[in-house]
Amino acid sequence: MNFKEQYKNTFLQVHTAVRIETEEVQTLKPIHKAKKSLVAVAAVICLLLAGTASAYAANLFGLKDLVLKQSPMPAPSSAAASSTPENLISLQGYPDSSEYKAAAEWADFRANYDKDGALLAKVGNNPTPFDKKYGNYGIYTQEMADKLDEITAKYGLKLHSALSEASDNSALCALLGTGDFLGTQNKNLGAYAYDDKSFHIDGEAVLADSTKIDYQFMDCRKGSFSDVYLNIGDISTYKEWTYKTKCGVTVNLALSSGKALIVTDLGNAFVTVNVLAGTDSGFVEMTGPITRANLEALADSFDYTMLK
Amino acid sequence: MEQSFFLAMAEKYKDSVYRIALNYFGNTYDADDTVQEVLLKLYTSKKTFQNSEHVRNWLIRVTINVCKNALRMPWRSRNVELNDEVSESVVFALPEQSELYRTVMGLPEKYRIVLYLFYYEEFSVKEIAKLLKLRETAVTTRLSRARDQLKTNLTEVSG
Repeated sequence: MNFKEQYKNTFLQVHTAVRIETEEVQTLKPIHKAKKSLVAVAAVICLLLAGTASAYAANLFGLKDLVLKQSPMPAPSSAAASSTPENLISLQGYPDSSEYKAAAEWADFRANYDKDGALLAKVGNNPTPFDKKYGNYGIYTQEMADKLDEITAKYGLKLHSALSEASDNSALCALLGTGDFLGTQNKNLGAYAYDDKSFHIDGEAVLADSTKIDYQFMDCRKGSFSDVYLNIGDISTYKEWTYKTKCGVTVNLALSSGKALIVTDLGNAFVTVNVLAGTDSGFVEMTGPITRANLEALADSFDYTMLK
Repeated sequence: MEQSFFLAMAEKYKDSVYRIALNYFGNTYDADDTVQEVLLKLYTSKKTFQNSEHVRNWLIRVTINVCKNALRMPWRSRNVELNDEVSESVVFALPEQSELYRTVMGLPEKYRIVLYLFYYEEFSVKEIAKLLKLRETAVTTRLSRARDQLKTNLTEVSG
């Protein structure tokens, strides 16, 4: 046995004393020290949302249209979680697209399948026969695999297979075969791309006024199935407008107290930038706060034409 | 974050979070607290995760940041000595595993964390450098010195 195996076998036996039960998620709190509990965090979020209840939501370009009618996951049972309005939006395209329809159907299926997690618990973390083909979609039963095949066949979509990681801008651009669409203001903190060139970036931008913004940049190529959705909280708290970026591509911008979005349909891809900052500061791990001008500046920092 | 997804991810990765924190702090008390704090961040995070590997990488990054921030606090001594509580907190299947654990946890924190990320989480030197915001040469040096110290302190270390 080499040192690596000895080390792994030893630390494999080291476990935390923390136990997380379904009923206790909403009251998760430190064992030893007084820190914020989830109840407290939920209360803060509720207050912030209440403070912006009168925010104007114009729905000029369809942020509301992206909302999935059915959450892909069973509704949280905790009172704390359910007291916060939740809207999940599609990251695949607008409702008339095959990608949106497929994602919505899959969300419907997932919302009603294995609701109590009994099947998942039975599988645990063990490998399944579905990992090779469906590894990117969290499939763990034959029934799920059959349903996914049915939906993708119905809408003529392919499944993602290979995934490659890219640790910096140049590596990602090389992987995608594009120019440097992130420019000098953006730093790629970690990214990966699928075989169809759909990709995801955890990025950070530092704007000209020194505002630092963390974001996730998601590019979903048309013709592929994606089961990723985004929880945007209470949609009624967003202010929305259209904006023509410096590169000439028009994007839809949405700004709320805790989050902002940049959404655009490039024709061959649907691109969403999930901005981890809003007009208020104070959320866990948030950057910002940001203004309307900051959001437009962030949109300007991307050259979308290189992704067409 | 949806509760069912959170629960699955928390169960899967809580020990990784704990072990990283244990390597930083050298005591189970702060390591358990870090698990709570990091899982709280996961639960309240507005991020979208594409798969469990993405969650793992995010959790490890956040855990490292939480530990580093905590160690910067003026009230905390960075020179945490190995105490009996740590070495006695785990009952190992084999005596040599107990010895290895005690010896590893007796190394300085900066060596423990690179050892763990390299040997257990199987990150590359380049990835560790990025996670810890170090130069790759610094990671290589720490790994090398950690191995040297282990060889000195352990009666038999191969590989």
